[in-house]
Amino acid sequence: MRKYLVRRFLNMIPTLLLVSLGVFALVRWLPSDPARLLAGVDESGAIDPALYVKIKHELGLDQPIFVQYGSWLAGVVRGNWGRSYLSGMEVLPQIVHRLRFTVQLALTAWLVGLLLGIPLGTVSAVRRNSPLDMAVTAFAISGVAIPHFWLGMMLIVVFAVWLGWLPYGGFDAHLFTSPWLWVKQMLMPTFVLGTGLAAILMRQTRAALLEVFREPYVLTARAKGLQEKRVIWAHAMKNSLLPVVTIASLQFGTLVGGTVVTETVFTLPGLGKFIVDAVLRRDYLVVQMGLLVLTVGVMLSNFVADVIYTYLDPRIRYD
Amino acid sequence: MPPTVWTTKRYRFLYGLVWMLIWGQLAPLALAADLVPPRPLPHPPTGGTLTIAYLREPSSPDGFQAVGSFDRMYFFTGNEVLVAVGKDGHYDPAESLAYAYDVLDAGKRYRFHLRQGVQFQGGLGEMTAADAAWSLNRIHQPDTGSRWSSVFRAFDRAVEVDRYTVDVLLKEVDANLIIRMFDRGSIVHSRQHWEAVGGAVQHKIRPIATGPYQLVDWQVGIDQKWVKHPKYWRGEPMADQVVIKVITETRTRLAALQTGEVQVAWLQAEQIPEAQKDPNIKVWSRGGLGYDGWAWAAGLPPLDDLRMRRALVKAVDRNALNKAIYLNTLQVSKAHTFPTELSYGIDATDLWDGEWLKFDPPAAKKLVQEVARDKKLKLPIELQGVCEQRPDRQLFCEFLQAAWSEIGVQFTFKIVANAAERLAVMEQCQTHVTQTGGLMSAPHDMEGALLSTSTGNVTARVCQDKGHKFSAADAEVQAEIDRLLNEATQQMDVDQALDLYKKVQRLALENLWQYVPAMLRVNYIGCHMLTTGGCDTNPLHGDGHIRPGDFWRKR
Repeated sequence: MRKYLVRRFLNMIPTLLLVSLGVFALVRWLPSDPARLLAGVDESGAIDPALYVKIKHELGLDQPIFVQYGSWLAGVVRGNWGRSYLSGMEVLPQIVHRLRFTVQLALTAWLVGLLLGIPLGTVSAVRRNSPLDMAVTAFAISGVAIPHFWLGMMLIVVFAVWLGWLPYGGFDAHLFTSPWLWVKQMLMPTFVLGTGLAAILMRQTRAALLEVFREPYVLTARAKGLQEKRVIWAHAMKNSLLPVVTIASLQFGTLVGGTVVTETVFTLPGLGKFIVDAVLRRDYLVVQMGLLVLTVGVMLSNFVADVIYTYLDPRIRYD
Repeated sequence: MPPTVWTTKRYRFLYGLVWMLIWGQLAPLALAADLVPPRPLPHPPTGGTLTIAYLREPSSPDGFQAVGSFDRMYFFTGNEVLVAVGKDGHYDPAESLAYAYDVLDAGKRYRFHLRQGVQFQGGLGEMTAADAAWSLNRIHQPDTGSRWSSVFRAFDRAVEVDRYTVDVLLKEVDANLIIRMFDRGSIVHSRQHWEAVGGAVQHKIRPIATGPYQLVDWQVGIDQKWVKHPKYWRGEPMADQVVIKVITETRTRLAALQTGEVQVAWLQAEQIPEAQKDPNIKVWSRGGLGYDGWAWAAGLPPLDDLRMRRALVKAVDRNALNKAIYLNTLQVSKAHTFPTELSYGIDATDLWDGEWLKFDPPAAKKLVQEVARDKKLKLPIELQGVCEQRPDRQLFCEFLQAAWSEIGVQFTFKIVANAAERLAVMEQCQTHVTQTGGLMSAPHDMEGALLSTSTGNVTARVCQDKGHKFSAADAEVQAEIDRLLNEATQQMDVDQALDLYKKVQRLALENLWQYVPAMLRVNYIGCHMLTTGGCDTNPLHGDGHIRPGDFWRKR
């Protein structure tokens, strides 16, 4: 197992290198560049060409692409993530600041998703074709179908503007020093993200459980006269969780970087929106480092899923 | 004469002489200080945090290095200019760092008289003429982050005359110098701080100036926090802290205002009807600060034919455009660049509503057919365009597409991320039309789009070398516009200068030259009246932007 873990970690390095190269090339493939934006558009929408060339030179963007890539990579390895081309601020503290929030939101929404999705999926499978199953299935379909943008906006209008119970958005609370404000600020975005994830997990759990219920060992357990509760939790559940864990781990990766819409609607200081803004501003270094951090996040969540597999299914051995 | 009398007289004489000498030295200072006193802030300090919401991130809180037009929303929180624009659009000495100026040497030297006792933020001492001269001299130094060299073409250098007097020397007469200085080029920063932080890059993040609030924190894409400058020269700032939040989503911004969590918010056209329904929100607007419309490559066939340009204008129902896209929140232009209410705006109703440009699709179609026949072009005539990736601008291009398809023109356009990319596409000289808009708050702003040497005039500046050719008539139009604009810049007589600017606008509109200002812009600001002071009168200044220091938190 230890060998496997070490190998997995080492495997991350070429993957990260490949991602870094891809990201580096992709951002430069976009039209325009930061020098053009820095040179500024005057009142008539024009740019001073001499100034543009000068800024491009200052940023090192006139160097051959491989030189640019090499110096960036060398900086990353040395812990020098560079400065934002546009704001002039260091990239590392900016990413850390946003990552701190993003991880809080992703974890909270993920937990809400798990706590809602798995029990509902189980109930739905156990009470298959009952009104309860239909209600839960309707919830799942709604959770997947309702756009986060719309749901978020409705929540703001109802709970912030009409009722005045919750803040419109924003996030400046601390879990330990201002827990009540933290809860109020987290509630709506967590609900929007969590219900979406819960719907996916619910469908997955239901399908997996129904499949497991048809397995001979479940029939055997029932034939032996075991209590239904024990059949579900001791025999069926553990085996049905493998695909659920896969989905949940992948979804966690998505939550870390893919919450741009929710972050935009609720004005949250998340990493996803930060990267999208940077893409629009052609702030290459921010985009490159942001995506690299997200890649690491996704890889780690998959890694954790692999470890959990071994617990859920003793047949799985990585040695 | 008894010696005692002589002594008394001599004493009186000496006393008088000394008094005259002292008064001679002090009087100018005393008078200067009193000449135009600072305008006190409109309300005593109330403390608290004033939160302002805006739609996007500024390029920098350092006004001198900020490049976006709308960055003015932010940087006037802490930055101040030598000559400030008032709410009436004119120089307002009571809010300016220079309380007066003189025009010397037949307009080639401007002498600015600085206020005494203006303190820089952060305890960096008094602002002096040395700081002002140093700040102004950055204009032609690109390594200071200056983007204003082309705006201040006539500017030669600034020199310190004495501690509170600074001279600006011009290479040639520039009658618009003061108006140009309303903006960020004349922001005064502390040289000491600039040098201490290591120059432009660091100053861009932590500027020190003379304004009512000092920047203490900037989280890109999230917010900026400014704390009050206790030694502000117009009095103690009214709020303890100003937070400027970036709320990109328009409905969320309005919600933040409605809940009172945000006191002042920049509003966009689509939000206005909803905002006006809310009894707690007061919406203020200021029009005539620029235009929205389209620009074209007048040297790229078939746009080198004025009939074609006229046809394209006549095919567009601007009232429908205003209603459909801007929810009737812009003004349908009856002028050219500036509305008729302004002294330099022209009344062009005869052109817009007359045969020349009136919305008339059948007539437009006929013109297109004429052009196609004369130039042996196949119908529909194909035009390429470019448009910014923003809902209203994409809709604008779609509107043009639909309108022009009715007259035998097939308009296809690509979407790009921003204005810079739009310009880059036009500089390739293969594209006919670009959606455009510009902030134009003073007549000389037209230079940027109309002068043949200006960077905005892509056809004249770049595309002549890439195969574009003006028709003989169009070449004459360009030459005449160049002549008029240059003459206006040199003209110190205000009335004559305004006449010249009016002639430029008329000529440009008659020939649909470079750009079509279909709509005139209106800027909107919303205040949450239960929590905000400073909104009983229109808080928008002559440049169409607010000054965060004008507002306070109601207790």
